[in-house]
Amino acid sequence: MSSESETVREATEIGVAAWAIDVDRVSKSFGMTRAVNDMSLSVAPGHVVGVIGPNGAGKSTLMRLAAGEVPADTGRLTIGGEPVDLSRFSPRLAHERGVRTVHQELSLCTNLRVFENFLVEFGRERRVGLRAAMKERSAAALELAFPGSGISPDSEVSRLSLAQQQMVEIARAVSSADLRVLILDEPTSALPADRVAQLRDLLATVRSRGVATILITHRLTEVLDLTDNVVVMRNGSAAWRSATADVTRDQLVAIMSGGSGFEVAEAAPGTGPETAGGETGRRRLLDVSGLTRGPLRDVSVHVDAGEIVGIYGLEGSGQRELLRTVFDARRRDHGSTLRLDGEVAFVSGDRRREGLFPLWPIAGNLTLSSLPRLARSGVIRRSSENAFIAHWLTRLAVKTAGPDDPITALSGGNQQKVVIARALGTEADLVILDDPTRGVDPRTKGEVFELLRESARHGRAGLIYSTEELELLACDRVYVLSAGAVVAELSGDQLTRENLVAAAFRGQRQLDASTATASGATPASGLRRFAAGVRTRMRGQRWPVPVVVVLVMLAVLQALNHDVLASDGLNLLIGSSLPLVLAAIAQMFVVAVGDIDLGLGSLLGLVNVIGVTWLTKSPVLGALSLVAAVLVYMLLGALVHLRRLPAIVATLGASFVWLGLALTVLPTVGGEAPGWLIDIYSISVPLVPEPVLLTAVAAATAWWVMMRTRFGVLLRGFGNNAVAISTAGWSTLAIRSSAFGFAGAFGVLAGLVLTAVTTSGDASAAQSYTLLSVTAVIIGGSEFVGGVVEPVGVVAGAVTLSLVGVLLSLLGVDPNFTAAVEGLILILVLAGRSLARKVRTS
Amino acid sequence: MSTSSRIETAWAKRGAFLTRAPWVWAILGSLIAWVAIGVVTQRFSLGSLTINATAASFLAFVALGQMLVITGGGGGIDLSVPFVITLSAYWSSGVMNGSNARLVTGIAVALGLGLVVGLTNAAVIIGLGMPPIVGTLAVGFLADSAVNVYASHATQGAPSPALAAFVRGTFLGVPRLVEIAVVLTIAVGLGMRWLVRGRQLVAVGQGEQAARLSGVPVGVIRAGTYLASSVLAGFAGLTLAGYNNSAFLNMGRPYQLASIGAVVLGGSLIAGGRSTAVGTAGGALFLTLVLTLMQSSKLDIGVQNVGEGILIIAVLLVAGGGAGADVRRRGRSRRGRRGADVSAVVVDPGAPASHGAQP
Repeated sequence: MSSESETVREATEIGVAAWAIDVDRVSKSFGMTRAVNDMSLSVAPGHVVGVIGPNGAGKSTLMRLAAGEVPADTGRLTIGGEPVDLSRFSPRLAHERGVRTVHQELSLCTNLRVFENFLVEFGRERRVGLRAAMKERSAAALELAFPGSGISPDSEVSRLSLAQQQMVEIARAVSSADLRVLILDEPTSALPADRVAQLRDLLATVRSRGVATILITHRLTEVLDLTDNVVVMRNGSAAWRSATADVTRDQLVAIMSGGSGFEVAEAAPGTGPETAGGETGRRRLLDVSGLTRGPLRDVSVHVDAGEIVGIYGLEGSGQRELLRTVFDARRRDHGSTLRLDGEVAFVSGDRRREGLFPLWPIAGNLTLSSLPRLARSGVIRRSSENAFIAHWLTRLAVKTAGPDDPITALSGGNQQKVVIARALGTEADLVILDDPTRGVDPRTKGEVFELLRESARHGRAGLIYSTEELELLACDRVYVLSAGAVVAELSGDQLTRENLVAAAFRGQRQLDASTATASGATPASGLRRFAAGVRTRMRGQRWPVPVVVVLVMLAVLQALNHDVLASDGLNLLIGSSLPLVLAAIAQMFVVAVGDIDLGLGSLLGLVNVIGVTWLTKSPVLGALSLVAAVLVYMLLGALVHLRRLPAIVATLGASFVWLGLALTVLPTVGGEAPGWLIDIYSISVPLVPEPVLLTAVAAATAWWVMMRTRFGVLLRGFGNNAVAISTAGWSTLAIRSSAFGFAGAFGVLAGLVLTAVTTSGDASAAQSYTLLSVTAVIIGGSEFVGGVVEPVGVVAGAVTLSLVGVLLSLLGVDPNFTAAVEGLILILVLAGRSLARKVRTS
Repeated sequence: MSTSSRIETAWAKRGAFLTRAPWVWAILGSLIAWVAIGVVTQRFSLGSLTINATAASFLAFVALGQMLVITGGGGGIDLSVPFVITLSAYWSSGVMNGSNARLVTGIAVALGLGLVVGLTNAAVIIGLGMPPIVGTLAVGFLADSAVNVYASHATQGAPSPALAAFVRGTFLGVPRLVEIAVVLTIAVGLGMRWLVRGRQLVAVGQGEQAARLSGVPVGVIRAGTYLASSVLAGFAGLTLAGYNNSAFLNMGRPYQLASIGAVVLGGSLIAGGRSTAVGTAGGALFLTLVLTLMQSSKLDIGVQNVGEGILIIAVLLVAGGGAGADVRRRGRSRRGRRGADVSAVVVDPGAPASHGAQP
């Protein structure tokens, strides 16, 4: 490999010290799979290198190694002439050295606004005026990179189209002042043609700044247009390198489709037609005609018994959706557009997520899909299962492995053989294979195909999608998909690598040409621009609904009882809701990071009890114990993060600790709230009743921390996309722990206010606040998935819940129903959202 | 991911027995706790073990159901059990009202209520996609309201004498409840191993998507666990009322944390996918003995609570949450650029977050 990189060095005539980035013979393995194997890559300042190759060739992993996101096993890395200590290399260090990556999987936090995503990446630079600075910076960066993009820095990323999100990410990476190496992983796959042209100009600017660029792409046109050198990767290492000027498009196509060492391919086409000719009038197992669904456009394919049918296409052309739709057709009726005759089994190439059951030995992994066949009235017959295992282990020829060995001890190829055997063992009529040989060595690929061929000889069929053209040559027929439509059907002599690749790229070019431009025009007049700005800011806001609900509740109460809106009435109503308001804010901080605090009610009880005992007798001890409670919360958050504890169980356990401590401090109901606390709580301020003022202050504080500070941005970002936050170099431990700390602090405040309201202590009186706080957070517009929180809405939700209690009692409803009503509100709100989501997606 | 899984593999080979049989710890702990109780009370007797085993049986019923829910993974947990226990106990006692004639109706009411709550849980969690914690808690509060409303409108009944006699009785010198618990434990343990549905449940817990693609009806399986958990909780409520010869409000309350605690103590993975029924029963026994030990040591009820909470957090800390612990958070919202289309070699998304997690 070193000789190859020497060649490139000679070709470009640059000394080693001058490389912007020099990756020297790095390797990286995941388990038994060698993702990157002794790979070298050097880029000079102001140069662009294109990296191409099939899926699973190790391109993305190589880039992650260069960006410090995964540690390399062996090898050396030099950035800007300075060697990098690989054992201490991290994303943050990479950023400091000027390496920025635009990821294939978007690394934006979709719940944040555009400029807030800039803040996540560059927020370390200053503190004062950070938001304003980031707004300016993001606007300038977008205007520079994609003029006329029409993307407002205030837009929430989830409201942007995929192309716009991609533009934001590119603009963000390029706006880095100390940029030295820019890594673009499939930057154009989501971009329309006019934006690709802008990207081309942008890369020219970047090049003139002396930045080295690495471009990973599937589009050969871009390789030819944009790069100085091109590297073809295969099986983790460089298969071919050249200066771009020396190759033609046809050469690249030939190189892309050749030389994978897939041995069975040459022999197999002979067997294909043979089987095809053997029988006539075979059973049609799958008949798809005119299917338009998701990305699929008017797709018609069919599979007959005894056939192996391939699907080919560039990444993201709809292959996977087609396979999933066919598999799901077992349960879902598609009418005449999709007819399925017989049983279906599925094999995914993504073993880790979709194939393996890591806690089971080989035997369990092998038999799962066939269990119904191996059982009598639901009970698995041991003898049948053992016979099944013995049969398949022999057939798979998995060396050195017994049925009880852990599946994780096998190599990737052998693991995949087990997954395929699981599907074939069901004796399903049609086996669907989704890139089944991804990351598998060539010899095993041959064996896998042999298994398929044999099952086809027994009258069954296979539908296979592969990223490797050579594998598909062993199929009887291949459909080529492009942008969700079938653009070619190849079989017999027509089925060659060149034809496959050419068809896929031809479809792509047609698509490029036909893509319409979709940039919005900027509004002209000042007033219009103001209106548009307001609309951008209001779009997707979740607080108006809860706020309106509170106002309606107040109006209803006023109609029922005319004293409600009088100062005293409001004082009482809002005053009794303040503990819940604060508790809900506390819960919100935990929900923001994707957890739930089941100990909050007990914490309130503990604070309440401390309030009426220690805080009255010795305020210092009382205050210290409350500070300690907050610290314990932070510790709990840190433990949840470090040991990956389920927050539910940890906080439920903590709730017993709080309750136990409270019972120890004050075993019976009683005590006396400190006079100063009650005094503080009943200060009369002019104009507004104090509880209303306090509620407003609480809401404003929570809103400010959550929505306006850098910490709040990181907190919400973490809840949405923890990887993005940690890749940007922030400590996720600190974020999670602080979130729990804030929850503890607001919980303590809630407990104190509760003490002021009830004026006596009861260890277990506040239990109901746990569910109430969760309910308030949810009806306030937040989501459990983390990152989506709305402080103002949460406060409104808490007040609403309190008012519901008042309303029920005004209506003379049995107080026993209160808990049921609160539970029902929660279920109904979530049910409504779930329905709304379904309506939106369908 | 890779290194840690390799370490796990090596570890699994070395400590094969203890890894495969984590329930040994729970049994061992139970023995130590029993001896400790003997030391504290200065009286060693098999009787104390029998009484504790009986008390542990109620917990075992609930905990086995809880274990099934947890095994299904995806953040599965049933927080409604305490409310089901109280509801079943209270309502069935009211229906039986101390008469043997209405025993069957009472049993039907207790189990039927469990069934209704279980169905509701399954509907809101699998049907509406609510997170299990919140779904079961909200449904639990509905059940709680039902008890309160029932209690305020009906006279407090009593279990039928036949039921009381049955659950307090012994068979071959061993308390019947303990025997039922042992049989149930063995049945659940064997069921997870040798029933198609049981094996599928374990598969779902290890990998939801992998199970779905292997043809396992994920929703049906998970719904079944919520049904089983609630019905078992209903059964626990019924027998508990029989044993105490009465039902009272909040009688189920201790079982919420304790049922989860027994599962964790028994060595099942809280993230799902690997569970041991024997361990759960052992965990129930151990937890009961520890509580008795704390009572025998004349510790305050408050200190006992603190002890229970700390014990469970400590066991979790030692066992760790496992890779699936944050499934709930990521499950639905995660979206890559092209949906399922993710590049071949992907770093474990949790990896950057787990620095320092290895001891």
